[in-house]
Amino acid sequence: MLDNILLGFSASLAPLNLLYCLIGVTLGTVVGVLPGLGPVSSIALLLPVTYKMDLLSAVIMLSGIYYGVQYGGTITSVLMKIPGEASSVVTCIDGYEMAKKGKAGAALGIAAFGSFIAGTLGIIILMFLAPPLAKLALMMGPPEYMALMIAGLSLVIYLSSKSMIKSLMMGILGLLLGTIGMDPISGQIRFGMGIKNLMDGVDLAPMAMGLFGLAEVFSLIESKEGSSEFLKAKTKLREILPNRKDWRDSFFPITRGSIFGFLMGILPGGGAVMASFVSYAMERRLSKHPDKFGTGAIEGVAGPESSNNSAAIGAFVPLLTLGIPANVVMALLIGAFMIHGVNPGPLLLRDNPVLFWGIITSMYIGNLLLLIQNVPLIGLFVKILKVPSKIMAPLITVICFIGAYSINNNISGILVVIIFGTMGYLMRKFRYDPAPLILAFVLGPLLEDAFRQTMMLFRGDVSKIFERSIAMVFLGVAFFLFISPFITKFFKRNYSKPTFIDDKR
Amino acid sequence: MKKRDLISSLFFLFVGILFLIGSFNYSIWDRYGPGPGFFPLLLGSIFSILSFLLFVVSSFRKENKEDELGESDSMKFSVIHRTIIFLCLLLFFYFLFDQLGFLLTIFIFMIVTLISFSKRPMKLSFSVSIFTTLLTYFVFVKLLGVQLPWGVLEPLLRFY
Repeated sequence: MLDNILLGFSASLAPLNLLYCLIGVTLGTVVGVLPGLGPVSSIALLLPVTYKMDLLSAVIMLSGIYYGVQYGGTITSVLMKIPGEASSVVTCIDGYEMAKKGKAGAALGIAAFGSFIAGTLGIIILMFLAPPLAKLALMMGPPEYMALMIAGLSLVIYLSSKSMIKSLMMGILGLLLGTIGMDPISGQIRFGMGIKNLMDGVDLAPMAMGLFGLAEVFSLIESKEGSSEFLKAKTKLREILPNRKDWRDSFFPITRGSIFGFLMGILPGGGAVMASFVSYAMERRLSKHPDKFGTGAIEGVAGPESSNNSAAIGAFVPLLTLGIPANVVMALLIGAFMIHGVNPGPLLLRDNPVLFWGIITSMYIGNLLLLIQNVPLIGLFVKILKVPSKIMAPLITVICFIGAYSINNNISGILVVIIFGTMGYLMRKFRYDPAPLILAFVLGPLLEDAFRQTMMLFRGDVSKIFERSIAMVFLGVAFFLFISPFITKFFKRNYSKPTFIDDKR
Repeated sequence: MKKRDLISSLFFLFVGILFLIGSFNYSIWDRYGPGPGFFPLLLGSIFSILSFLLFVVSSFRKENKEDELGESDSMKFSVIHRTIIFLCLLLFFYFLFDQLGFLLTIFIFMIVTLISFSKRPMKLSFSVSIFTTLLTYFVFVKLLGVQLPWGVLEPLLRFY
């Protein structure tokens, strides 16, 4: 193990990788600060840039953005009650109340330190958990993979919005869009409609840029005024470092948040958003003074902020050991691997240990860099918010378009962004969530492959799935997720399903 | 929301049926198992059924308070007219990108968008447009080596 860690550090501490790590975490923090622009659109945007980079450098930079976003999202949540990122929504509740009481520094400080501790703890768990999981993954066959992917998709659909039927429809639509292009088994072109650019299917990056990035731009353009409310916000960063009492109050929330967040991150579909919500609820329930929550309790900042960072690290477990994305960001990271002809999965540890351990150890460095740069630079990030949204909107569009064009050096990339951007905008209006669509789109070809291999293995006899215990456990989870809202509704009339998107958006 | 669910479900039902019919162009089942048409057929069927289900559920549902829409959800022309103009500008970008080249297209797109939507002083709009154009050139072309079309400015490449 020690040899592997040293091997990883020797790769991740190389000057160029160190530089990309710094670029990644800085970009991530900036993206986290900017409302709307999330890790998905920014990673999708930078995916084409990684074509010319070394794979390790590319993944180090992209994952730096991912966990950097969790840090950045906190800043605006605490100072302006504007969550830069969905996983920081909960932080708004007590973080902003703390800021109003002149304790913005303590809130931001505990969030930064808590995130660092949680991130580091997450990496340690990842180091010990990843190798045995990779071995376990080698024992899994197509039926188990198929069942696991169905369970993951079910969780995303379950959590995505209040309407189960709409989420399910988006998931299926994503799978359908995934069938466009060359069939992985027979090589036949499906639904190509004679269009040359559709022979390889729809590109993931322009699609994600459209559905998330451009759709957000449309909303910015539609809104009447830009960021005037940000300009009015007054903030005092009297103290950055939390005092001894703050530390005492935050110790257990950080520890619990770290462990719980990591477990939530591992589950496909779980992710940082859900982890932060559940952590807040858990801290409130365990607190001796639950009435303090909502009025500026530091536990309400420490717990969720630790858990969302830990979950971000946990999401790497299924990616690196099973080759399965736990969330949309991980799906995009798979894209980065594929660009370089490497398949993440159980064989990665055996065939490419430098890459595997390099990615893991780079996270230590990334977390440390984030702590070093975040504490003194908080004031600077606040200034970015003063860029009016009406100026940001065309700027984001240009970056999206150039990014899409550069994928194949083809104008069709821009058209894909426009089409999916318009679709994403309409989906918001009609209250459909794009998250299940994009994750299903990525999982689609993998799921179809596993499904067809399973059917060949079973010679068309579906009932043989009952003989596979692991697969049945995953399918049982999926089934439970689908029926649970109906059961809960039956027993409790006023039940409101936990969701990770704001339906009023 | 009821009306929108009805419209969207009908649209998705149409999409689902298209995939369903299209899947019959490929082999559904062969001696080795499911063919390339099986998965789209299965998904197309489920998608169509779900869309139909949403249509039926929406038809019988009464509008309630929860369905009242805020301005951000509105589809009134007074709310979405900016989006429509912006979409036209995006299409302008798409159609002229190859012909005019990236420098001119980005500059024109930026300045027209800023003048139309931001209502800031002309000087600022001009500076931001120039800045974005130069930023794109230095980051994407010089730093990352991305090949972007020069269009009518192609003769400038002689001095490049």
